[in-house]
Amino acid sequence: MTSRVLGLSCHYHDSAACLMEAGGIVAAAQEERFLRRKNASGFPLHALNYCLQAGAITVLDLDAVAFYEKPFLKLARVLESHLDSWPRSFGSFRRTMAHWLDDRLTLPLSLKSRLGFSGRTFFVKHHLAHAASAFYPSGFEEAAVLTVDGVGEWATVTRGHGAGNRLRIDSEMRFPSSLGLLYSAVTSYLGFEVHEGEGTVMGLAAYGSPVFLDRLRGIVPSTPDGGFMLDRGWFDFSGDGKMYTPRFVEAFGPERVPGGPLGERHCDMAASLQSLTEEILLRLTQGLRAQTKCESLCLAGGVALNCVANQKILDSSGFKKVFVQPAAGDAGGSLGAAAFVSHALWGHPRPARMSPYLGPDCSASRIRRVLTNAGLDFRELSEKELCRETAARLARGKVVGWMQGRMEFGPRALGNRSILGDPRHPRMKEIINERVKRREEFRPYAPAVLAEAARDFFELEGDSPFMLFAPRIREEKKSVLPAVAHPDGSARVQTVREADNPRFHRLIASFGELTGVPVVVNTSFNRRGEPMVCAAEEAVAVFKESRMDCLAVGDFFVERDGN
Amino acid sequence: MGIKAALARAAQRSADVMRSALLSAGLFVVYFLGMGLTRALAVLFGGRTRASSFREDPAWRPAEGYDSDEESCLRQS
Repeated sequence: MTSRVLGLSCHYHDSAACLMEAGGIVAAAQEERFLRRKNASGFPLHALNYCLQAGAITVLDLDAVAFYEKPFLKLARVLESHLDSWPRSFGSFRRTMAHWLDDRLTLPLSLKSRLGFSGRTFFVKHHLAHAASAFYPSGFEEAAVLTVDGVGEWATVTRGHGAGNRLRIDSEMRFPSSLGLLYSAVTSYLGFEVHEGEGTVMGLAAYGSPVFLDRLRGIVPSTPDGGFMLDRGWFDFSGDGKMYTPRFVEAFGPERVPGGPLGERHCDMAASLQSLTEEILLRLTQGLRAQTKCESLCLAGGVALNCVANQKILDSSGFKKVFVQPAAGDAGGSLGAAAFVSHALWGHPRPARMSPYLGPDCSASRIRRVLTNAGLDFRELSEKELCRETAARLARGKVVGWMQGRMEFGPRALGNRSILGDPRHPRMKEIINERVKRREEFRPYAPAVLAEAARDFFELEGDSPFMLFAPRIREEKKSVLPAVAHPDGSARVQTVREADNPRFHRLIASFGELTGVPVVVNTSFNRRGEPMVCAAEEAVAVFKESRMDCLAVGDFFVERDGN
Repeated sequence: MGIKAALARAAQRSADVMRSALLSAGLFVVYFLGMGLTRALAVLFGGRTRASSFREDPAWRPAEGYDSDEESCLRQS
């Protein structure tokens, strides 16, 4: 019986690999973590090799490979986009086509030449892969499915329905009407990097007022059938140049230079974009709820990483439950393609619940060797001691690097590759920024809270295990959690259940015993501009080069001199 | 041995440059002749590409090509 399938997503941005066996997710990881280059887009050779290693198999043991899009359809769209803006798109055409001819159209050949794999290769449409990545691991027997991203082959938004192992896409919106491309265009207008700065813009939005909302509505009008369209006079998605036209700049003022000062106008533009995004997503999800009558919704696509909008959907769309998987963007396409083949084509049972901890682990012997080679003094502790010691340092305002178990799949640090701090400390955000992260000061840090105590601190119904919802902090708790409160009163919460991550749960519980607040600040373990750490070597390097106070890596505890 | 290796490297470099030049020339012809002609015909006959959009277009369309059988998924298009 066919059982092992390797999912791949690559050649656009954030490439990744995922191995599934008999319906279970064995391993998944993004290539950027191994290459140490954010949003790496090439063939995910390292991630793929890791997946095979985690499954203790070779490429010859694979029954199939599944790719997260249909390349020829995507090429048709790329060609027509260039045709649409002929003759000024030649530069982009030359660059783009060189890549396509080099590797994008030849995946089966690449698999054979690079890996020696000559089995079956499935091509799952991009939005079907997104839909599968959300529905199959959701745990819902039946759900409505909405996917929203920049663009796949032609689709930019799809509506569908899943029940058991069956997944069906009913309708779609097509390029160039794209909420993801709109968000990316304004992100670049605001001087942030596309595919990287969208979350920054979401954070910036809380500092502004949506004064441009009416004008944005005018250039992204809604349609009578409940969709929306983009007025092409304002945007240009034909090549790899600016995504907005001079008309956009004339209307809204000069674009911000990357790294330049942020003013009120920039905050207002971010707020207006965020409001429009929420408005459109609410209209789409309310329509889907009315159409399907389902109580549960699965969301995927890069836009589903917008946790502020996700919260609005949870609060106001009519759906009682909303599931967003941790790698909702294109990296999750590898999971989706593999899941579709495994469940829809081969009929394997679906997993009951998804764990985000699908990446590499690090053995105790390797960690000991790395620490020794780095010349660090360390102690080996039991889990109980490690959690107590770490909690005590956090309660004294120290910043701790925390690396445990398997690395997270997706962009969020969920307690295995995290930098931790005390949420009660009014200056903790500044301290973490000064010592390690060096992020823009307006960007919030997220809280991780014991699931059983979440409702005491946050206005949250249900769980938020992947940090993809942003509920309001309860009014009476705002003064207790100054380090994680955003100006709009929300926080991007991770709820931690003992069954999902026993050690992280134990740490937060220990911190709660000491302070009465079972919440810690949780941000990704990396330096600015780098991907999250993967191996112990990288964790130690960040620790040594930053001014973090302590490092808890595996069972080992390291304190900087003088602490 | 040193000379042989140097010759091999030079040959490889020449091949790369030649390939790159041919690719650029090919793409130039495809773009300006092939696509230019297509574009001219589209304008002449009032046609439009799928990448263009108009306010009167419906936003939602029935989904096509999402078949969930093995044969469909083996196709790249």
